[in-house]
Amino acid sequence: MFEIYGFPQKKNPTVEEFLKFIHPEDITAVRDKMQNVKKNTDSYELIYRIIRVDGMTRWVRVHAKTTLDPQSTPLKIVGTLQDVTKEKEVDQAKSEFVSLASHQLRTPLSAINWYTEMLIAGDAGNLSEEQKKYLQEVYAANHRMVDLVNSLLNVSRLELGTFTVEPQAISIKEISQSVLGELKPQIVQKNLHLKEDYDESIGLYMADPKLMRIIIQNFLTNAVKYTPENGSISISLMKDIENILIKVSDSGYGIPKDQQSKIFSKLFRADNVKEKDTEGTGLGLYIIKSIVSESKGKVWFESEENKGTTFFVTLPLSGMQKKDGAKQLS
Amino acid sequence: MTQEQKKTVLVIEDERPLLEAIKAKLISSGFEVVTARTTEEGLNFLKDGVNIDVIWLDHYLLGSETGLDLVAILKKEESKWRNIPIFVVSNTASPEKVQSYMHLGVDKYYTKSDFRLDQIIGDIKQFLSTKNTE
Repeated sequence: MFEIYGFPQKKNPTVEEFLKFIHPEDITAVRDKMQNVKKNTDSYELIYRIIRVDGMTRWVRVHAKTTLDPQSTPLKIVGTLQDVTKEKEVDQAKSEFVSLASHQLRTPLSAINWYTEMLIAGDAGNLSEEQKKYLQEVYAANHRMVDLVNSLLNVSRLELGTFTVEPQAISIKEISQSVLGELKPQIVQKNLHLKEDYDESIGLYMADPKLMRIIIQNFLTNAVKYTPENGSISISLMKDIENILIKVSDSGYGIPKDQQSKIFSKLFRADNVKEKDTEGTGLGLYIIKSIVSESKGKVWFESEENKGTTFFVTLPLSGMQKKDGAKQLS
Repeated sequence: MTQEQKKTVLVIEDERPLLEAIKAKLISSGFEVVTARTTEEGLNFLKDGVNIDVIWLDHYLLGSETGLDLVAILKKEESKWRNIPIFVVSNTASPEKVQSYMHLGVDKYYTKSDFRLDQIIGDIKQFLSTKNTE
């Protein structure tokens, strides 16, 4: 620890001395985490920046337990500290590569989109039913690729911290209804029972409409995709004195118990849905988790295999905070 | 659209396959089309007196100038082309650039890979018909 922080080994620093080295942009998150530790036995992991004695900024990973006094003030931190600056730099380079590659992919994807569209429309002559069917498969597959590229771009923007948050007064109910409108063909095809419940007193909420749409779209798309025919899905919007709560439930395949801890990890897909559907990317929930964390909210779920899943998101009533960045999420 | 009513679109796009697709779809939708791959080529059509009703513009183009440089020229107060509607269709413009385009007065921005040609052309047609009835 003394080596990582760059100060001469004398005695263990106090908690406050330890916190003094944390980067100003990360200090609130670290304090919040420490104060949210309910019991002395709870351990936690944190990644944040420190400013060393010599002024250098380094990324560190802490795996620790905090001892609290009766007033829940941190008294002592015991754990391991690791310099992960190199790891972070590699991650950053990877994200930049993904961003660049994804942008470059959009041009050929646009060409495939537009030429296929013209062929299907008969602009280059009449097609047989079979030819049209094959081209529709090309068109649909290309759309999946566009969606994947957009998701990868979103992930790289979230990881690089280059995304913008532009809050404005929006209606979450309207976003939900618009997403459900897009999903209607699948809902009808699978004969799913849909229930919507919106607390009308919520009215307009200060949030970035694109980010809110990504959250709701991913939840509802998953609910529709992973619920068998004749099942049910629901969305509800409520509030308490501090937060709004978005709840999306389904009577679908559920998440196996032993895989629940990984469900928000990047590119992770549970085994039971991989067997049934090949189309997911494993990026949707990771993106949701990143957006919700950035918005000072919480996301969690309850799930039982073959019975269904309910996802919960809380976001502060005060809304999302504005954040300047180079890119919007798409 | 009858022959005498045909509107002319100036398409400025550097990627040849995309340029050809846009041109073909616009022609089959009843437009006259002239094409350019640099801002300079595009500007020359206007300087030569070609009657342009709409400009379809990409952001990154061949040459050193982007679509934004062209829009800055066209939207100058003294410009005689400042009322020509501009539809920006690009995959790569950042939100700041999109904002700059909108601020300069372009009519719409599209991310290429997210839109069908017939959607964009439908919007152009609707825009022109609204403009004509004003």
